[in-house]
Amino acid sequence: MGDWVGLFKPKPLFPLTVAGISLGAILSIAPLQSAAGGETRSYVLSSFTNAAYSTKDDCQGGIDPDQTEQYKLDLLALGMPLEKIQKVMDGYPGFATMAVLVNRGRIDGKPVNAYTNPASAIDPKLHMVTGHYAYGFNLDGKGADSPNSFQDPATHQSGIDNQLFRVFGCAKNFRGPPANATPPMFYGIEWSTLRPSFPAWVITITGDDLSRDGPVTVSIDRSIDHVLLDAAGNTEAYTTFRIDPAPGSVNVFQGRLQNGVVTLTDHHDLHLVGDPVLISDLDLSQTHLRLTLEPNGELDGLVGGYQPWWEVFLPIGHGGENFEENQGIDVPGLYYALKHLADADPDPKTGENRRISVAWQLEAVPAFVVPAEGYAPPELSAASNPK
Amino acid sequence: MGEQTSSAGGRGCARALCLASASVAMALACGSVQAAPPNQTSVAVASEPAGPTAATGPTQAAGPAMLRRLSPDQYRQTVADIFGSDITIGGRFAPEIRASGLLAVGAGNESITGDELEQYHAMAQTIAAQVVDQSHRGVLIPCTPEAASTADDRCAGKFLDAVGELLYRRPLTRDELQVQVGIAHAAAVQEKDFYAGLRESLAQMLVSPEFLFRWSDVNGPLGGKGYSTLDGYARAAQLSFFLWNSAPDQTLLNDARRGRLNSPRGLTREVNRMLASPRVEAGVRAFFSDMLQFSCAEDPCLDASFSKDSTIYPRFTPQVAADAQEQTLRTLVDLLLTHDGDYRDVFTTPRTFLTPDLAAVYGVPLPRTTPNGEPSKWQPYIYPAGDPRAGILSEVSFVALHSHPGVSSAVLRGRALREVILCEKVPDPPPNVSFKLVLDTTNPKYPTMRSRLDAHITNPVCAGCHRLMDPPGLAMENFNGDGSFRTRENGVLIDASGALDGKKFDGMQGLDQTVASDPAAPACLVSRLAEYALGRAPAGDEVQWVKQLKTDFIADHYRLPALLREIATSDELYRVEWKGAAVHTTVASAAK
Repeated sequence: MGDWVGLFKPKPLFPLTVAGISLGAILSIAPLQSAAGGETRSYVLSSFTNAAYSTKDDCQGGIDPDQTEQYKLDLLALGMPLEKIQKVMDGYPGFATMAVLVNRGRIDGKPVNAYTNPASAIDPKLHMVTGHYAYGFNLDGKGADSPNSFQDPATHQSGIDNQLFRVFGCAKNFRGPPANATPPMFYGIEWSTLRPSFPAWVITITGDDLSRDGPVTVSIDRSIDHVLLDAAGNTEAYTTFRIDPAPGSVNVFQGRLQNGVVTLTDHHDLHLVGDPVLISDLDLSQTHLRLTLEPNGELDGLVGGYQPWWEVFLPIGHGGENFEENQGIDVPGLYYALKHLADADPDPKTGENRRISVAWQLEAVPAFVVPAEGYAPPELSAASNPK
Repeated sequence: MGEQTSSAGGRGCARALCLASASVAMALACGSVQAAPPNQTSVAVASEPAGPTAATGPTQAAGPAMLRRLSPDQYRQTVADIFGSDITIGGRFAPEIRASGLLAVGAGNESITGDELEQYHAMAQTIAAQVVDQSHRGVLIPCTPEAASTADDRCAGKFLDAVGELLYRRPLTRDELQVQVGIAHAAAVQEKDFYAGLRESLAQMLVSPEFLFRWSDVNGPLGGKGYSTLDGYARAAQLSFFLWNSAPDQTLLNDARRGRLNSPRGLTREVNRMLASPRVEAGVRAFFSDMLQFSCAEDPCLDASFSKDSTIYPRFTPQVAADAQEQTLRTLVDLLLTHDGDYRDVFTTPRTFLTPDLAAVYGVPLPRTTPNGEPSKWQPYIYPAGDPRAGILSEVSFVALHSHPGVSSAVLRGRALREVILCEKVPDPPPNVSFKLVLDTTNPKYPTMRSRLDAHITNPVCAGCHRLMDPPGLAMENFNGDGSFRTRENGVLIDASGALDGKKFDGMQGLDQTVASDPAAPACLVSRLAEYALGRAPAGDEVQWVKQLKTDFIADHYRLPALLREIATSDELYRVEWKGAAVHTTVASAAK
């Protein structure tokens, strides 16, 4: 039987508005308090997906075809005769056919895996969003003068930089309301499936009084704990998460609460270690937030910035033909689209942009966030950390 | 107390029976009813109902003998104790009957139907097959046959004699052993496998009424006293199931054989040994599980259930349901056994135990201590001062168990408080009463439970009982139907003021204090524990005995171990009514 622990019990988060008030002091947590640090609310992410505001006519080139149709176009681009294409596709998804499709890249004229060598495939030129609206942020500060920018349908702000939406927005499983009945399926399903098995992401907001406008401190961290699921299969609220002490996923921002919406006043980089199948890392520069403290105690909104496009591509590229078939997006096509629409962080040598403007939509439920007492992050073994 | 009786076998022994006809039918169906042990006669002390009996007046010295079916937990624990905890039981046990607030009392009303016997038979086969399999036989069978491909009566007899004593909680008679060896012999020859023979014989013993039912073997009439006393082995079983919720161990059986349990000194020594054993925790857990109606958490009862609407109470997961019972049991064991605390403090103690799942319902931070994906560890937890939650009444196992699937219930909670905690009887609602108004949480005219109940009890027929249940129940209204805390219902601030028998208070804390200071609460514990031990309501002189127990419990500062000791060493626990009924020579002949 362990020692008795007299943990401070905060008032219930809902319907009372005070969550873990003074929790930090009582638990000797030193998280991220604002100068005053009067009230703290903590959350664990329950949903994470690409922010999508899809309208009926925002893809003038049309919606990307189903992948089986796209495969035919890919083979046609390789110069394969129609008869042979038909013969190949008649065997779909058999082994021989998949070998042809997977190895549709060419290096020195020889077939190579198009997922591990996406630049070897011919760019199928996926459809890009041509609409006027996208959720996101004015990252470059140019406002309406920003080239290829959108208008945010929620804030009506112009100059929104979200080229990731332009890339994803014409692929069926990445589209969202109002034209689509459901939020984007790909990240929604992946997050929903994987969330009990990877370390949770948590957000802590501290301010003098979170029922009033004023400055706040926002901490975004990775936990060493996974989320638990409730009886309805959703992320369980009011569970406790220990913060991973590894500095790679500790982020503290200053911000402001106004009319129940939290935004940032400093926009430095954010880094969160993620899951290799979903999003291996969330690295943002020019980090922006727009999070609404909902009356039901939950949190929802956007996080955005410039993200290395490779981070977005990698999990999908590794998914290969499975992701292509299930999520309906051509992997080499995604590679080219991300690369071409990247709009920040030019490589000093090549001049090619390495980051793309993004906005991710997130939802979070109330949680307790505490330090990981006595937890030491695993050290890299000699084998994995050669000197 | 202190009554001297002769050792077992010192006088002509008799078997007191209270056989329900179904039990007899079951016994015959099993084909396993054995002759009574030599020197014993069996007496059918019939006619008294097996369930609770009211006090029958000063002329009755003791209540009727009971024939109680082993509870599922007792069955499991007994098998684990004899053969090891790695033996899988499988199967599904027959539903239990609750009488006088206790399954332990209802056990005296239980028989075994044909369908249920099939389940017992399947379990017996499963258990027996494991006991004799390659991985267990070397440990569990004390000899090696001369040839594994045929019968070996000597080795079979050695095993069956030893196991039979543990299963039947008394030594097998010579005839019984002969029958069992005969079964083993025949099966071994037929299957050309010695162990197959043991398996068949063991399986047969596991479906025997001698194993499945607890008997009340007595020493015979005590001249003119109107009662008899249990013989040594029946005393051992009475003790063991009371204190350990399992069959007697070999030490206890040995003491029974030597007659030590018939003397106050020997009995006290053995009770002290048993109370000092960690196994007493199982006994205490079994009692409180029974008293607090935790069986309703698994098999929903009419007024108590853990069935929750997941859309309304998403945090009430199956894990929470399991943890909730365990939380209360840990709280009770820690306070009453580990710390030998005052029973009244169970209603106010801030000390408890939580898991992360349970903590989510309670809305308190509790860091996990096990790796992701592994079952959560229990962690001690102290509710901070001023916390609305303290004591077992505020735990999920009470406020959620006594709620509806989608809404709290001041009525069910108030009734449970009266009946479960204070041992009062609240009449059932009259037929044709509509509860629609009470359960409709969407009616803007009645946003809170208090307002709905106020409207409901305008019916004078309902008002009488509601005056008993509602005032204490409404004090628990700060707890949702899943046990989570709330201050408002439908946006309206909850008035959690309440009253209990004229004492007014506010909220759960006030209720906790009021119950803790109510003499009815410890008195109820004593009554329930005495009934639990006897397997029936006290009768005749036993009523006075229970009164004395209550007085002594107060003098002992409401300490449970002292109460357990007093009950376990009381003569009343080992007496049965003697009516001089017709004598039969064997159970089998009685059945026939």
